[in-house]
Amino acid sequence: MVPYIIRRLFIAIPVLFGVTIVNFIIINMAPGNPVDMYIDPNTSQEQLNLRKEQLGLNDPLWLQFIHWLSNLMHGNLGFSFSTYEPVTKIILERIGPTFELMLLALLVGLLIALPIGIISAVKQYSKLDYFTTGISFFGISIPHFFLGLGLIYFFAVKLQILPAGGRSTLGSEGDFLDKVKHLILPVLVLAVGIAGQYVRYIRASLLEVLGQDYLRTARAKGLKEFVVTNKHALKNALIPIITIIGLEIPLLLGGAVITEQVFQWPGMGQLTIQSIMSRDYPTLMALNLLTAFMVLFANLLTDIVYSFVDPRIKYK
Amino acid sequence: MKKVKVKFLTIFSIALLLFLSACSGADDASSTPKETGKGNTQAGLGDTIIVGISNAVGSINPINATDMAAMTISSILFNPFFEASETMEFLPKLADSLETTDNQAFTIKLNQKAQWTDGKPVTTEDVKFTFDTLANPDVQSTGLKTLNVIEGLDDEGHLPKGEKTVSGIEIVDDKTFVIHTKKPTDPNYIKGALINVRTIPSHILKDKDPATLHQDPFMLKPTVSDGAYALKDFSGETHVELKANPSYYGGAPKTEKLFFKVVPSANLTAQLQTGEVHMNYPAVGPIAIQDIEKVKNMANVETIDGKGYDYQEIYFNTKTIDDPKMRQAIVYAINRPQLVEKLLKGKAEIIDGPYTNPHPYLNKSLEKYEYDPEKAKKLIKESGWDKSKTIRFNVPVGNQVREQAAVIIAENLKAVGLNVQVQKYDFPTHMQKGAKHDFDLMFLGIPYQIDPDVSTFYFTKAPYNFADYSNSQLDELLMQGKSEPNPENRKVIYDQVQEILHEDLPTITLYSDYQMGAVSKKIKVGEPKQFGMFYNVQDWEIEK
Repeated sequence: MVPYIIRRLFIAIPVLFGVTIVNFIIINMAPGNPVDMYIDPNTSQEQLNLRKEQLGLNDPLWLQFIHWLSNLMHGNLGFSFSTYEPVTKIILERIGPTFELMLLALLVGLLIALPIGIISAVKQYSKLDYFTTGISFFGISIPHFFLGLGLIYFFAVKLQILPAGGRSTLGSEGDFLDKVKHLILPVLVLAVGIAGQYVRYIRASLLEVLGQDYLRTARAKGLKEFVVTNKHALKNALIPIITIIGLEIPLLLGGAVITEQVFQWPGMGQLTIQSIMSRDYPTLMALNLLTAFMVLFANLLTDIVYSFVDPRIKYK
Repeated sequence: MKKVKVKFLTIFSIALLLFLSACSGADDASSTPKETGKGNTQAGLGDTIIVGISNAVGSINPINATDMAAMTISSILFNPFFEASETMEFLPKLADSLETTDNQAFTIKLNQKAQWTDGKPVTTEDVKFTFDTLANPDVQSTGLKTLNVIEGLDDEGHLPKGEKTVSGIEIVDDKTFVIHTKKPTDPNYIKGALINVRTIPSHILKDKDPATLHQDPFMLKPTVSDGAYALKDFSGETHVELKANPSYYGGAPKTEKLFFKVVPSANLTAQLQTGEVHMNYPAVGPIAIQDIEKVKNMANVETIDGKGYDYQEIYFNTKTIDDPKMRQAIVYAINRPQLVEKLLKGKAEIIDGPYTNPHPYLNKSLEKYEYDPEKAKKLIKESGWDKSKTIRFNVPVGNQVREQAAVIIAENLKAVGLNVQVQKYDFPTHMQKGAKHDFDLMFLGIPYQIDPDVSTFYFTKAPYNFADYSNSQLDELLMQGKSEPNPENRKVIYDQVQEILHEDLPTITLYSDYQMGAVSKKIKVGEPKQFGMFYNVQDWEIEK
């Protein structure tokens, strides 16, 4: 097991390197550059050129990449082109809020999905099943911005019981209750989408297991139907779900671009969009590197967890 | 094996319980704020004013702020010498007065009481240090730009190699200094250019390395400043928090906390209604045109009709649409009255050139282009334009009204038989295509310029001359206009400039839209304005 993990970690290095090169090329291929953003008409061409020179944008691409890479080796991700702050600092400030939002959304989503998925599998083709299936499709397909704006309109504007956005009330010291109130709507928007998907996964996965022989054996030896479904069947049905949850882990740090925009949540999704719009290359590179790393890490983690849950799987 | 089963069952039932409790928990959470919610959002916040803006705030570095919101906030922290009012007067801020007898030596007296938040006085030493830093090509800053008229600077407003100080800045005493210019210059030109010069504390910054000054923690989050408010918390994508400077020489601010909150414009209206935002800053936090009626009807908000300062214009690529007749034809074909009446609900005015109605240099004698599709068709015929040729119309995304206007304009042009293709791009792409003249028509919003100098838009090969326009007669006039010190003579020059532009049409202004302001009725002093909104920020007050 341990040698396997070490081997996987070594494989990750060239993959990460490849990802950064591709990212670097794509980011630089996007038309426009940070200097084009200055719309102050009093800036002369020479001043714009000087600014490019200062940002290192006049160097050939491969040299820029080497600079970036050598800085990275020294643990320096560079400075943002729009705020001039160290990128590491900007990202560290954003990870917390995003993680908080995404983890809660995932948990709430799963907690909603689990019982509904089970019921809908057990009562396959019943009216209840059709109903929950309908609801889950609604959850999957409703756009986040639409649901978000709808909830804001209803809870913040009409009822005035929840805030319309942000992470805490500006000017207040931000007590716990205040933070919870700010979390409710964005978590709900994300959880609805997550729950919708997982109801489908859990239902499908459980249905596959419910027809298996060992369940007939379990019933034959006189176990209650509740135990059969929720213990024998569900345990095996959840194995593929673990893979799917594992694949969500990068999202926990990547953030939810649209929901964060709608609720002005100071997270990674918002940072990503703003960095793209302002062509903030160093921040974008760092965000991509982090996401690539998280994807690789999550895959490894999923594989490891798999071997614990399913004894048939062994790594050498 | 049995134990495992029991364990799993327990875990599952706990999960189920959690789910159930989470449901009821959510109910609790949404019902408790009902009682406490209102009290919570209002009590304890009586000493806070929240200004809504819709773009993220970039670096507020006093010498390197580039976006409007950052420049405004930076000017609250670090007082500029003057600030422009809505009527385009220059109000004294850090400076008490500017006097000149020969239009070449400008004596500026600083406010006698001006001091930094650490107790040290603001002196001409700081002023000199500021100019030297701005002129230093090693420092990443916005530079002195139009102040390149000062003696000792090159055309870019930089110090020549080897020089350390700007020779045109002469210190008389602690609070008096003189700016010497190379040639006689209009005092209003100097004042206007000084609006974006914010004095920085030399006692803190003088030993820093110029090459990394833009990354210095002090420049990112200044801890010592001289304005009515000091920085408390900077988080550019979400909010900027300022706290009152009790020792401010213009009087201690009446409100303790001032926030700039970044809210997408779709949510700005909602937050004005819920009281989460007290007013908008029209220049960077416009109220969407479709929301205007709604905001006007809100019981807790007062609205202020803005004036048209900024404008939306179309650049013609003068190389691909090289016949002025054809450019005129396009202007006649655009139904601007309909755009203003229907799309902008009358909240805009039609102008042709680069000066909007509040601008003192607007040449009012020029007759505006009318909507006349018949005349357009005739001119197209005369110019011999090949109607099958595709006209690429570049439009930046982001401003919904502008995108809709582009669609209408394209329809107008199709109606006179032209083959128009609207191409939408994100802003950096749009600007790059502009710089490469890779378009036939280009839509762009232009911010109001206080000084009448428009050479950056029309001078041959100038950076914002996206039209690739070149006219030696105009170039000469623009040079004259820049160096003419007498405002009356300047007016004559710029009247001529406008005549040429009106005939030749490298650009056509479509409309100048009014930016509406909205302010909560709880605010006793303070209101949204396009210019000089924060001049009296120390007097702003909210009902407690």
